[in-house]
Amino acid sequence: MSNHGHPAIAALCGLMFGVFLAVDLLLLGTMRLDNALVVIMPLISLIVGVSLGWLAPLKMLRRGNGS
Amino acid sequence: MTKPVRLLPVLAGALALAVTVFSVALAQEKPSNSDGSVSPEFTGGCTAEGTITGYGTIDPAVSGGVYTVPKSGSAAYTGSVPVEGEDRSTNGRVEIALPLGLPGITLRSWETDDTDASSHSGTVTWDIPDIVPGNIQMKVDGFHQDEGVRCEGRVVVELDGNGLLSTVGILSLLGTVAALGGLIWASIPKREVP
Repeated sequence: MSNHGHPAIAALCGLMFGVFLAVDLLLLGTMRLDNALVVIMPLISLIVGVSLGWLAPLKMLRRGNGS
Repeated sequence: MTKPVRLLPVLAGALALAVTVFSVALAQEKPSNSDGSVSPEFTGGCTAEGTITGYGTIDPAVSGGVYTVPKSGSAAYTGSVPVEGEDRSTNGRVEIALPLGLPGITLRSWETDDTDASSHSGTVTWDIPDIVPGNIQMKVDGFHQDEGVRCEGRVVVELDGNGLLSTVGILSLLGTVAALGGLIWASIPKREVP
């Protein structure tokens, strides 16, 4: 098994997750349009996505202590 | 035991990022009163007031909001400045504020160098397409510069209508779930090609 996941796809999905989540929170009325989180959330999600795609931690969880 | 050890810094990093992001967000958010209203922010000695048909009056000197605005409608407005004289230079703008100092979305601006009036009134109408979702709270900033006097004010408004239950809202929810699914899938290690 490879040690890596799919960093490029994870980056795209992370970015889109952040964008959609920000829109959800806006439409819920929990934050205003001028809130910095509107811009920061997609960027943070992009970074988290790249990290998750690169480190691929989910398989490690599923396999427990396996190598 | 090497891989579970690698997971720990990822989780710690994600937690630290989450705390940082939400701290920034909370610091950005203007505190509201206990009844959900926003304290007025209006300076300069001017008056500015608008009455939306069927929705009531917006007066930034009385309350900063939150004012509900219909997607289509009309409003009668009136305003005055504490300045008199002929051929005065004035300018002003009303805009929707965007985050992190990004340029706002200008709703209306004006500029003249020969005004004699110290008050103005009129009617404005608008019609926003139905596809635009409601329930989004926006900070609207405005100013009017008249000779040596500068008046500034801001209110929080939200468009009337469904937010998450609108077409855009449902598509956004589906997009959130799909993106999360893709993120989870992309976080699983690839199989090596034999």
